[in-house]
Amino acid sequence: MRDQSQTSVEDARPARLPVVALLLLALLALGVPLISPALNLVDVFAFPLGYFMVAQGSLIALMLVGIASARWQDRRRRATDT
Amino acid sequence: MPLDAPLDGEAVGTGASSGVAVSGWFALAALGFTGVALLAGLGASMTWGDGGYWAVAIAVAGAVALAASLRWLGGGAAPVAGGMSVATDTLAGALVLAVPGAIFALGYDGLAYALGLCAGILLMQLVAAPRFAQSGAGSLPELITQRFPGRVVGVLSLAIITVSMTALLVAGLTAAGIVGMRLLGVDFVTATAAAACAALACFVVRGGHAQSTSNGLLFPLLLAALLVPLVILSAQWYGLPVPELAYSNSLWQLQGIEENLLEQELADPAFMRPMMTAFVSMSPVSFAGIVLGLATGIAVLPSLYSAPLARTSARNARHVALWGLGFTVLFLTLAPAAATYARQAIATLISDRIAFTQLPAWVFTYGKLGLVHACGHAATSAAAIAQACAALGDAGTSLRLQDLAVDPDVIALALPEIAGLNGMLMGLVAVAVLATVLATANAPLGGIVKSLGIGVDSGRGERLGSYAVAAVVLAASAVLASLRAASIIDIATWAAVIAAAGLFPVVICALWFRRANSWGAAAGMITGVGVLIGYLIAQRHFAVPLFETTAALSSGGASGLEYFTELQDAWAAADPGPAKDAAWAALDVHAQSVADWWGIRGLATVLLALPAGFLALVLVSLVTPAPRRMETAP
Repeated sequence: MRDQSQTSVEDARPARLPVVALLLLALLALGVPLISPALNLVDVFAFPLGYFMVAQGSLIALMLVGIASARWQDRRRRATDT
Repeated sequence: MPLDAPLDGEAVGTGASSGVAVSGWFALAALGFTGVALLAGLGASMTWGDGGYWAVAIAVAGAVALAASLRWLGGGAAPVAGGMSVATDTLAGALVLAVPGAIFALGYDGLAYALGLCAGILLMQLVAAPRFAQSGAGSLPELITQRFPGRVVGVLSLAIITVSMTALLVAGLTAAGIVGMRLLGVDFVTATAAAACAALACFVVRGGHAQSTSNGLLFPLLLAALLVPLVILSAQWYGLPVPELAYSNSLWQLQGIEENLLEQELADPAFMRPMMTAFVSMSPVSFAGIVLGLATGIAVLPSLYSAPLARTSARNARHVALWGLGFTVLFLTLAPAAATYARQAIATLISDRIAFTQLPAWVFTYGKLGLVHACGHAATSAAAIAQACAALGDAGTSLRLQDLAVDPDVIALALPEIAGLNGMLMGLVAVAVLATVLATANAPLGGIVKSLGIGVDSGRGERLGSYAVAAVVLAASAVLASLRAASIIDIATWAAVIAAAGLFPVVICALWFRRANSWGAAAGMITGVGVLIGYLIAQRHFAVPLFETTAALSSGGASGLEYFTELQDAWAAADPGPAKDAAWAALDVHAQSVADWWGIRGLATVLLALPAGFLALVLVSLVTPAPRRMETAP
């Protein structure tokens, strides 16, 4: 069984579904590739934007969504602690 | 607080023991690799030098297994170490070869795989890992059986996990077989069997401590194996040692070379897969289906739910998954560069109109292994290529783009040789991939063992039982891998898609929907997998009745329906016998090309299976009695 010391305030209360982060995930993973032919009209770092987004941009953006979501969850937890 | 700060309640290995483990491991890997590279440089025969890399890979995998067995890194891990473990288990060696290969073969459309993998780890971080950690379960099978008690759910989850994890092992053993072939010069079956034996040995060495974060030790090696050749190439070719940026030059150069090849009739337009043009080899629906299938499959892949994510705080699990995402992104943003450099080197080879006798050595090295074909035959020698191309009739004295077929699964391994770099770099890739496959095979094996209810920590009897199960599963996987029925990326993606269709609705509802019960879970699993398998079987074997009944949903349009009606009339009018059989064959072939719903085919079937599974789970749960309070935690 899990060590009782690992139980935090966050663990003891109902969690909230990170809806905004999930919507951003869907947009980056499913939406951006579908519009990439249109995005290719613009260049970024010498890449066509649509290609760059699917090859690298969306991956980096997914990581940023993860960081923002984790920080938001941490702030919620600190607010509850205090 | 920084994201990598120690977290409350986490079990972290002591600094001294972790330091000894990491230092010892790096010293072993570096010494072994340097020794083999020096021997190769001093003129040791190619067979001995390459065999040495194989031995180093086995030693590295063994060292990681030993580190897990001795719990040098402790049971849990800090987020950074846990994240490395998640990234390594996600890539699992097989995908290190497969993702660059998919981009090489499919161009833009191959990027769906990298995008789906990263989306899957983010999905895990957002909705699965923290709640899983809160549940107190030690593995995904344990969570499912705790939350949904009953034999039916247990048997169904066992079946789905076994099939999915076996597919993952098949992908890994295929990668290990390819590396073994290249290094040892043996046939694929022998190399795969040797890899399966080594993977079993690693599983046994780990003993009762099957799940640990030690696999994360391999991530720096994996990253270096891909990064070093790419940095050297980027610096040599474009003077910018940042592959993620420098390869934009290669993309444009490749486009120019391919346009020249078309003008000089050295390439067939039907064969071209432009790197920057979307949806050439798959439809947007298929692209979205692969991304969704990989994302939802990775988010609930049983092999990923081990020590770093289990029995810890929700915050720690979230941060472990976040670091795992970061490391996976770091690795996968390199994959397009690897694929582009390989494509450019090969396109340049064609455009230079090099004579068969002047072709670089790698063509024949991999040709003898059956991994490079020229004019439809294995490129074993210049004479064999000349003979095969002469038989085609329209080929000249040099190769055209469509004449040279390089197995996509070998692209990442062969890149240093294709680009003319030192052979030692191929050895580095081989060591990293083989060691990772062998070390991470423990994760899917552990998933199957735990879904059987065998506790490897329980005692000698159960431990021996787990070894027997692992041996049987590895033997079956080796047999399936030796068939080489599909590419590594297809096998690995199917593993994720099966997990997505069968487990994603169940795991998400187990964690977020208190009203979900065992009846609903069973219905969700049966419906998800049933829709997946049923749709695929109907498309392949019952295409005519499927199209007849659902023509309105087909992507074939009015022209497809019109031609189908013509063929159907021809079949009805044909005389019984060979003429009627031929008419039916023509009708069936056309029906298979148009019998789909909204263009959904193959891996994209998860677009149908997922909503069907969720719907069945929710509806059945709502019309059957609510679960008891104790079953609904967290």
